[in-house]
Amino acid sequence: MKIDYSRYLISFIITISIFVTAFYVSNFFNDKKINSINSIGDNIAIDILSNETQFLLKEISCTEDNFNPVAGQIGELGDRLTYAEGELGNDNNRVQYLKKYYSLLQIKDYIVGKKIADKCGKAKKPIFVIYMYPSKLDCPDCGKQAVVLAELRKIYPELRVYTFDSDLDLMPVQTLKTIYDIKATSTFPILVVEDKAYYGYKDLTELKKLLPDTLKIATSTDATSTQASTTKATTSSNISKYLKSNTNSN
Amino acid sequence: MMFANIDRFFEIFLYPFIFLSLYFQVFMLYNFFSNKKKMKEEEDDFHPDFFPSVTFLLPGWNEGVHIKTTIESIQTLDYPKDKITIFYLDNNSSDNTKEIIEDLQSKDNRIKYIFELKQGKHNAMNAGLEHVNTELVACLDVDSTLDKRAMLVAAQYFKDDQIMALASCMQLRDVKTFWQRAQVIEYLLSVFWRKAYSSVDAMQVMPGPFSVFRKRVFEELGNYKKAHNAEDFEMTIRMQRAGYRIANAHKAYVYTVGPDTLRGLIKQRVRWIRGFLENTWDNKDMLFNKKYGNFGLFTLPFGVIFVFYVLYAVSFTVIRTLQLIYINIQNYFALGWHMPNIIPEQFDPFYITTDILFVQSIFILTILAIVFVTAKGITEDKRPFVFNFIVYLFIYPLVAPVFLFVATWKFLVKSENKWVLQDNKVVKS
Repeated sequence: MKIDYSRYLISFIITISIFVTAFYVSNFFNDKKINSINSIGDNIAIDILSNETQFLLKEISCTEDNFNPVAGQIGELGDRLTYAEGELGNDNNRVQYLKKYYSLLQIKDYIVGKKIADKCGKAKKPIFVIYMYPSKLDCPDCGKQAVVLAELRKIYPELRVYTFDSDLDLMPVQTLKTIYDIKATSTFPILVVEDKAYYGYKDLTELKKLLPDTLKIATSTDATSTQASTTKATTSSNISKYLKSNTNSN
Repeated sequence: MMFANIDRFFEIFLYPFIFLSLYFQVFMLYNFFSNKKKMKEEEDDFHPDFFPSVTFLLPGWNEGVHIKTTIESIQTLDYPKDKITIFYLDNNSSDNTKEIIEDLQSKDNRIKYIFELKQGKHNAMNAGLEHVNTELVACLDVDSTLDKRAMLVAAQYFKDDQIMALASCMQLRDVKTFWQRAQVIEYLLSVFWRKAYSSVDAMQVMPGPFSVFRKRVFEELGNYKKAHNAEDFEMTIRMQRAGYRIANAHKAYVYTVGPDTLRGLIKQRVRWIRGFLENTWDNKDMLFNKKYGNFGLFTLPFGVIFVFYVLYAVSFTVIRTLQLIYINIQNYFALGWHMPNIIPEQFDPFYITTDILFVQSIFILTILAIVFVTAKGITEDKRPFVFNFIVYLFIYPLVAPVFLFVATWKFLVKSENKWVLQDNKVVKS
């Protein structure tokens, strides 16, 4: 029987073209997403730098209006990064780069935030929670723990949750692990609340018990305003207004 | 981690399968559209005085309710009456088949009644073939009716001496149930595929509801065989092996009835798919064999790939769904009675998936839409289709895997093919 091989070849070329186009379209939109994550990261970097500079200048009067609302943005960045990781895979170079960037921003915010909180030392100071999960090991409870923490952030907007991949090849993350004595053999997930490390999954009730009473009192006092605020916003919008007016006047 | 490993296993096959399914569609589209001019010529090349004699073979078991309508559709054909003979092949019916035929015979002496005791469609057909004296043999299912011009259109193709057989254009009638609605779209799409296959002499199967053969096909290649209850497919393979050309009369309409229950649908499709796998296995020397043209190089291999592709796609979807259920159950228990926010607070385009699989699926669905619109144009089917299409898109993918899994399982374990007499009722391909 006669076979027209050109049909096979032309179809093959068309298929390849469609296939490559699909990859190109997918990559185009993925790039846009990565860029948007990058842009949020850059904004956070500026905000942290601004906070740090404010602190170092010692010109602040310890009112919360003097600081940028970084935690909400970090939360948004984390959510987007998690989504991008799901779509592009953990092995993706750009995802790995963004994870490192994100981790550094978190550590920086953690340090600056702690310094400010220690100096200002007021009743409604933010509470810091570090959450560590392994990406190269099996961790059946990690997904559950992330959901519980997200819920906790909704209940206590003052809470600052920092998420780290313990397997990330980044020196500061490894230093954090050394500080809190976290080893590869430790039981994950690991939570550090108020400088104390807790190993293994903690449900919502257990986690609430670990939080200092000051946070709970502050949150219950602010219940009305908390309900009105979005889950991501940790401080009032007046802060940004104040900073914008400050920037403009400068 | 366990899920991650399963994901990795599936991802190995993901892109090759996507590529192959895309290639299949592109190849078929290319064949169809490069043949468009010839299709128009086929429609215009009409000789009103070309009427080869034809015998209609109607095999049936307890088909009393359909006989009259089907025979009437033959009697009212736009075709010279003296060129038509009708053989009713009674496969040991226990209903009033004989009485109905006798009544019809009293008014039309072209109708012959042949009784076959041995069960099986192939036996009934072979009993009829013994008595055929016409140039053409038209095989028609008893629950199928012909369009008035069907035979006139079909006969035209036999002006070409090389055309040895002809497949028709099938459409579903008497659509009442949910399951039949899904089949309407499936039949419509198959109109396109059949035309695309025939344009490169790679016809997959001669449809049971209405196919026309030159009598000498049976004289040269032999009669029907049991062939794992897929006698139509086996006959097609034999013809392809012999290098016979099979055309497709896209304007020779036949209206048939699809199974009206899920059970009936599964039973029919398990028989078809198992028949396909068994017969392909029996003729595995034809696979990827260029000696058998596009049939060996494309039709048979892609038929096998399709079965495994669907099995793969379904397994993948099931695993993903189980993952999602597992995660949601975990989340639910993690938060006690706190229900997570399922609906996002505000729309964010960032969270619209741009996954390569999703983009490829859009491309594949677009091609499928082109196929659908083209097929609708061929059939001139004016029936509203939106609801049928929704049923096809969302319900069929849930049902199709069942018959694919069952058929493949039966093929692999070689369980005995129980060809009970009741099955004879749905002898279609």
